[in-house]
Amino acid sequence: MISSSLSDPAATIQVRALSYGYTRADEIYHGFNWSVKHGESWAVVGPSGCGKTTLLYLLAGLHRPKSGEVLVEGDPVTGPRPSTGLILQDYGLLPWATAKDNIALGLRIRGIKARERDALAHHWLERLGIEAVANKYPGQLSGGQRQRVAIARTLILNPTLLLMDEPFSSLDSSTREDLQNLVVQLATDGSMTTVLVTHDIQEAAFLGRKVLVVGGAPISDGVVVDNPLARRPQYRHTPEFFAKCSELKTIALELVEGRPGVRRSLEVAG
Amino acid sequence: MSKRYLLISLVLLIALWQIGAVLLGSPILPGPWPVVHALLNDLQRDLVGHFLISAYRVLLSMVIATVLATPLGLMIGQNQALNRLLSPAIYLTYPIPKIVFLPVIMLFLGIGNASKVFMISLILFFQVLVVVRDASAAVRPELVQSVRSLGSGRLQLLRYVYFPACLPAVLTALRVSTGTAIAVLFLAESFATQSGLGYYIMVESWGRMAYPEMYAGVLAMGLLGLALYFVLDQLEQHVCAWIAPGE
Repeated sequence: MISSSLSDPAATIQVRALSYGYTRADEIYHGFNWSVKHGESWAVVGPSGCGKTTLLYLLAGLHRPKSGEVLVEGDPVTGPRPSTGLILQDYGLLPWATAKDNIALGLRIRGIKARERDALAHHWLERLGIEAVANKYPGQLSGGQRQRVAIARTLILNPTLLLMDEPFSSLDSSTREDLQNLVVQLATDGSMTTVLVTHDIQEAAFLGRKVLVVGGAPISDGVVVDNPLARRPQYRHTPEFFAKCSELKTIALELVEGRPGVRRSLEVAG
Repeated sequence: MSKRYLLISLVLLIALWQIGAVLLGSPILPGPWPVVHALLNDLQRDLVGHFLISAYRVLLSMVIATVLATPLGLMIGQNQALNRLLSPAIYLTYPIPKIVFLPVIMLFLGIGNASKVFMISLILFFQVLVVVRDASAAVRPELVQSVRSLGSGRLQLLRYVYFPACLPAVLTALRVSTGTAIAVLFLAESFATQSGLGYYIMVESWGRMAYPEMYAGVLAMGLLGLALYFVLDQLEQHVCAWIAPGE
C-alpha cells in the first residue's frame, strides 16, 4: 500500500526543496520534499549513515538547510523550538547529573523554579517507573533505564512534535519492545506527532503508521508506505506485520541498489 | 585510601628516618624527635606565620591560574579556528621551564608576593589550560546537540555541559601540579625575601646551621603539600562523584 505525500499547508512538518551538505559533491539531501500531518506517527527507515539523523537535526533546528526550507507548524525552523522534543540514539544524558537532574534539565534551562521542577521530575520518574534510580548517575543505570530518563527528559517539556533517532538500537529485544510500547502509549496520551528514524525495519514497521523509506545520499525522494495497523502491541506477532517488514525490506534494498525501473513503478514522496 | 594503611606508611617512614639518623650519626640528619620538638617550638614563634604566607601564595596562584586558564581553555577547545591559531603558541611555550624567568619576574614585579604568585600562576596556568582545552574539545557533539535541543543557549551550554565536563580535568591538573607549585614556591621564597617556608628553611635555619629547625621547615612544607593534595582530592571526590559512582 503505497501513497504519495506532498507539501500540505496544514501539515506539522513541511520540507520543501531541501538541500543539505557541506559541498555539492557530498550532498546528503538534494531537492527533498516531505510533509507530515498533525498527529501522524512516521518512521523513516534507511541504511546506516544515509543521512537520517541529519534529517532529524534539520527538523529540530540544530542544522540549517543549505537551500530550501523546513517548516514546523507553519513556521520556518531557525533554531531549536520549545515544542519539539528530540531523543537521541545514545540518550544524550549528562553523565555528571543524576537521573532526576537530567530529567529536569530542560525545565532548568527554561528558568522554571526548583519546586515546580522537582514536582514535575518526580511525576515523570514515577510515570516511567524509574523513581528508584532518581539519584543515580547515568553511568549507574542500565540501558533501558537510561532511555527512560531520556524519554522523560523530553516529554516533561510537553512537546507537540517528538523526534527520535534510533532510540532503542542499543537495547536488548525485550527492553526494546517494552520501551516501544511505552513510547506508543505516551505519544498517544499526548496526541503528539512523532517521527522516528531507524535502520531497523521491524522497528519502523511497528512504530510508523507511515513509513518513509530512503536510500543512499543524496536523498531527493523516498517511498512512503502506509502502515495503518502499526502501534498495536499485538501487531508485531501477526502475519501482516511480517508481510509489511518484508515489503519495506524489498523497497529499501531496491532503493539502495538504485534500480530506477523499480523506483518508477512506485509512487514516491515529493 | 584507608586510614589504617596511611598510619602504617607514616610509622614506616618515621622508623626509616630514625634508622637513617642513627646510622649516619651526624647533626645534618637529626632524628624525628628533635625535629618534631623544633617544629612544635617554632610553631609558637614565627613558623605559623611563614606557613600561612606560603599557603596564601600557593592558594592564590592556584585560584588565579584556574580562573584565567579555564575560560580560555574552554574557548580554545570549542573554537577550531582559535585552536589552530593559539595551539602552536601553547605548543612552543608549554615545555619551556618557566622557573628560569624568576630573576626577570623579580626585576619587574619586585621581591614581594606578586613575583612569587605570578611565577606559580604562570606554571599552573599552562597545566590547566592544556587539560581544559583537551577536555572541552573531547565533549561529544551528540551531548551538545541534545542539550541544545532542550533550548540551551551558548552560556547555558557552558554552564551545563562544557564546564562540568572540564571540572575533573581541572582538579586532576591542580592535584598533579601541587608538587610543582610547592617546589617553585620553595625556590621563589629561598632568596631575596623575608617570609615564607622557603625563607625559613634556607635563610633562617640552613643559613645558621640550625638543622632540626631546617627539617621542621621541610616538614611544614611537606604538610602544606599534603594538605593541598588532600583538599583537592576531597573536592574531586565530591564534585566528580559521577566518575566512579558507587552502587
